[in-house]
Amino acid sequence: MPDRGLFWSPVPDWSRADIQHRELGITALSTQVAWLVSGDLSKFLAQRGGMPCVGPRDSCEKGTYALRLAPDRLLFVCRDGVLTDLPAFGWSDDGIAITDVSDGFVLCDVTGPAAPDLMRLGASYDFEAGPAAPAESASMLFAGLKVAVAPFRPGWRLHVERPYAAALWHWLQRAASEWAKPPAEPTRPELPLSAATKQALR
Amino acid sequence: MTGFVRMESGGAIDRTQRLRFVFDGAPYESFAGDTIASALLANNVRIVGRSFKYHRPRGIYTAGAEEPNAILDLRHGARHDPNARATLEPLADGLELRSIHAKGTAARDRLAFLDRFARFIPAAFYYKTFMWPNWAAYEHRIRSLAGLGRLDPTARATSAAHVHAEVDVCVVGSGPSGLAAALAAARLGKRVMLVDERPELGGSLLHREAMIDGEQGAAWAGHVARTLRDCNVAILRRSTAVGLYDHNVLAVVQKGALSSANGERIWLVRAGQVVVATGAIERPLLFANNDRPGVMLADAALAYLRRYAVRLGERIVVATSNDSAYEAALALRGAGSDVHLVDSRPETDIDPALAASARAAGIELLAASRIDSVVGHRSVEAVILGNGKRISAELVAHSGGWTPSLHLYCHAKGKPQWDSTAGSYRPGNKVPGIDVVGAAAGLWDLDAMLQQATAIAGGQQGEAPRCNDKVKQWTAPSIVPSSGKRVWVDLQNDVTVADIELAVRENFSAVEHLKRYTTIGMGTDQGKTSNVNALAILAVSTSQEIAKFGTTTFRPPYVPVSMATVAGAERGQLQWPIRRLPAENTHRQEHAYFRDYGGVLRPAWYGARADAIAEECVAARNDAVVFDASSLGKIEIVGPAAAALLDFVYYTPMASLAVGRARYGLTLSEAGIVADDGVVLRLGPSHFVVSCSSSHVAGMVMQLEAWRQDRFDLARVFIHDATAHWATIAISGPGSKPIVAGLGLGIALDDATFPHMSVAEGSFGGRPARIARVSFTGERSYEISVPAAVGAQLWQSVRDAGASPLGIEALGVLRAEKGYIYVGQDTDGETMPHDLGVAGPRSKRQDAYVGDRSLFTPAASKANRKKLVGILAEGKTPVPTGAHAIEIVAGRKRGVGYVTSSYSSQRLGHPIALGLIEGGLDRGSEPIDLEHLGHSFKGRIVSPCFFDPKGARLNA
Repeated sequence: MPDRGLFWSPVPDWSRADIQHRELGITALSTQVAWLVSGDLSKFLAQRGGMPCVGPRDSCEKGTYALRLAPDRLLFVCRDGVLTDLPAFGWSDDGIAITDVSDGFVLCDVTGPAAPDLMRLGASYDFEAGPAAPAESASMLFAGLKVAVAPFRPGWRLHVERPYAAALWHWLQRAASEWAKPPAEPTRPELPLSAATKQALR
Repeated sequence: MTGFVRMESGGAIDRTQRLRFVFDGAPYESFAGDTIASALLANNVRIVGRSFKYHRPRGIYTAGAEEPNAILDLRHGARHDPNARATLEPLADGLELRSIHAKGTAARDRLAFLDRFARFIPAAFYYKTFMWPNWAAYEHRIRSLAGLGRLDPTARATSAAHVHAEVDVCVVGSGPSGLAAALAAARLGKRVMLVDERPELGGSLLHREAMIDGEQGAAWAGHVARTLRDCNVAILRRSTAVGLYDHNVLAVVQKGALSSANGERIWLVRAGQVVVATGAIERPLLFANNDRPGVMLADAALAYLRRYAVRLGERIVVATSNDSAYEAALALRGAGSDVHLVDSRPETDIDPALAASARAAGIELLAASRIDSVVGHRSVEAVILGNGKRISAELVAHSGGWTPSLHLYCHAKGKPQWDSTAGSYRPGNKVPGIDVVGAAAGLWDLDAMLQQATAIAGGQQGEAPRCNDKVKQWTAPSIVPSSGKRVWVDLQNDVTVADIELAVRENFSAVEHLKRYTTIGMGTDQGKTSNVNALAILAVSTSQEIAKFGTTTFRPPYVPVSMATVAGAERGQLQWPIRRLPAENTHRQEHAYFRDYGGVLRPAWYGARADAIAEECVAARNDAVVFDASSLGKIEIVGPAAAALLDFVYYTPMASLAVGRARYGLTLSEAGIVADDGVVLRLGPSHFVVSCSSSHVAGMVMQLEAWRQDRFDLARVFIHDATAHWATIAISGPGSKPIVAGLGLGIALDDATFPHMSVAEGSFGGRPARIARVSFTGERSYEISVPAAVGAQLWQSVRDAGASPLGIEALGVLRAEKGYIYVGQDTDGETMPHDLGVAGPRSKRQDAYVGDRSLFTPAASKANRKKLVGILAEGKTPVPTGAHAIEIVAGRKRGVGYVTSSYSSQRLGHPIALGLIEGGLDRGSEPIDLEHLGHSFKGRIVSPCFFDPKGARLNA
């Protein structure tokens, strides 16, 4: 049996993973604080300054935000080092369950004029319609993977679980290559014709 | 001048841009703007292929997607399309084209002699002839003769990722109705997408005359196209809507996509409203030898003349049963051809104005006439009318009416209804969200079409474009029995009227049976030109109405779609994404040999040594090894009802587990079958971690969540899958404890404080660390979980401390020596916990848990259930996994179980195996016969635990 390590590309170095094309930029981040929060979400959001819980078509700030995953679950994300009041993970008497998943996600920021087109390749979801319905989840199938999508203006942040981050990155590289190609040549390119055809056309 | 020629002016081609191409090895030139079909016709190429069965010469028959004959093998650079439709494919410089079906070339086919044997090979002759000795004896030879294009295994076409789009209205078809609908919707500010299979918008307006809003039809179409662009309507040209699925999802195949290696890409369009404006397909007339090169549908002849400036001969017979072919006759006459117009209707039924205009143009109109047969073999030479009159001709252009193109409507469960007045099927039931307009809806009056399409798209009365053209309806197809002549109904599948009559005689008279018996309606054209005529013949043959038969089922795709296009970007690494370990690149540096295990890429062993696995086993038993167990589940169960939920989901009770302790347990399906095994850790009174099998994490999360939502207070227990957050590094072996001590985890490691099956929380590298004393090797072990980002750092620290790496193959040996199971490998779809020797909860638990009732059925209590055993094989060679245990009953072999795992044990010095055998250990230590693929083995049933049965080494 062949070594499957030869088939699968090595996992990217997330601290340096970056894709830049003419109209598209994708940057990976893996050092953020991320918590899965369940239970009394309104109480949790109130404790965090009354921040909103957003869906995939709402707008949010990159600093600190909460993504709606399910009716009673959100993903809280903030920059590393911002928080001074870390909660006790697990169950609290406030009726809130918190689990640290900071290392569980790789984040990919998609920006540039072609970002909406790239998002259309990834998911059967209308990213550019109006605000999301109140209960709409930010978690969806994107590139065939479970991805939580946070909308920033302009651009989106994709949150993928680390074990699948290499697959998403590979997909993003391939999809983004559509914007790496030069504009279509106005003149006809020389085609690699077979010998028989060359002979016939001579 | 005779033959098909390019006219010096006219058409929508660019005469300044010459394109070279090759067909069947011969070079040709034509112009940009041509399709392959128009370029071949302009070069007077009559024969473009051979028929499927009889290898009769065939020419271009239509100008659209319904083409049955002009299917070519196309190569262009890296692109290879074995079934390119010449009528839709734009000509490109350097195209290499070959006819399919022919041995040699289409013009000189070495299998042409088969037609002489036609009387011996009618429909279904395969089923009757090739029965002795069996079909397989003939299959290879017959398949080599049959089939359409052939795939080139060396061609690796790739296509672009699928695109998703959401619109308010998607209009399919850009004829007059489609344009009117798109215009009305766009004016309302809706998000509109317009899809058309051709490069230009306009549909029939591009070659048929019409005056709309005071403009020529083609000019009006161009004007509307510009308006639509200004209104930000998404226009997909060269794009075919191939399927309409639930919830108004349209699959559209776009050709000419620049970013795609094979030029194709699929759009998945979700539309609030789908407007089907797909027009109608011209229906052939039936007469003998109607398949000869030079017999063509009348509308196609008109399109080749007007759009591509190809004059199709000097002597032309236009045969029709309706008004629509008159325009073709007049145009062909206007191009200088000598035209005879053969109309099956009596003079009294023909519009006098039309008749007068034909005669005024110099056309000889023969009313109440029909073609009996075509004369000519490789091309049309003449036609013989029903009254015996012979007319010399190079082209026969014919029209038997029109069939609405209802394929998409039918994909969405629309049921067409036969309209005997119009002689065609029309949309029947209304399908929510889908509107059929124009000719597709059975409307033939252009003004009515424009009004209807505008209204359906939400336009106001008076907004619709206006048109004065009226088109008269036609009658149902008139079918004349074959009378022994060869009259083709389905050109692609070589089905004649006689074949259908034969099917009816043999009682295959239901439409679906007829299709299977004759193959009519199969192939790449799916009977677009043949279905209604076949129904009409069926009706005549059975003396019934067409309406009683219904149609065959139209299924996607509307036109063939290559598998490369269906796959899109999901190939190679993207076809089936796999989970990756946080420290994978570290394992690569350690020269790990990787394999896929349960959807995770994991090190199988390290290094290239032949005995790497055995060496790793020895190291684990004698010293210390390090194993990456990061993919094991880390599912947190949090909340006051967490213990109750776990107690219910697990067969093994978990509520009694003390904080800081761990317990091995099984989960069952509701049928009582073992679903997973794993370890549950209790971190706090309301905080547990489920460490399930790597491949069962997603399933376990779903099972826990399902039961949580089914029977627990949703505010008191929550499921958080934190598997991805943690890297888990297991250190195992008699030398493991000092290595762990050296890591500075900040916990007490003495066995009194931290015994086997306990858990503690410490830190590593400034990050939290969770340390569990659990073992899957049978040796003293520590599973240390740290945040994924420091997993590689922990691995390296352990390696630096002297532990050698252990791959999963060696782990498999070590756990089998201990009799530890892999659920799914050492269990099957019948294995219950007591079959594994875990019978305590079944006998003691009084409370409810998943699968409890199923454990007490008569089948669950049978004595001869297959149970887990160890098998000691004779000799030095392991018994193959999967080998069957055999016993002889009444002189016959009977399987009593099988080997589930089998290894060569370095430590024990002999092969070991686990198996599921009827009766299990109750059989005693009896010899057992094993067989595998014709080879026999002998073994002996023993306890599944081969090594350290008392577990002393867990604390060694």
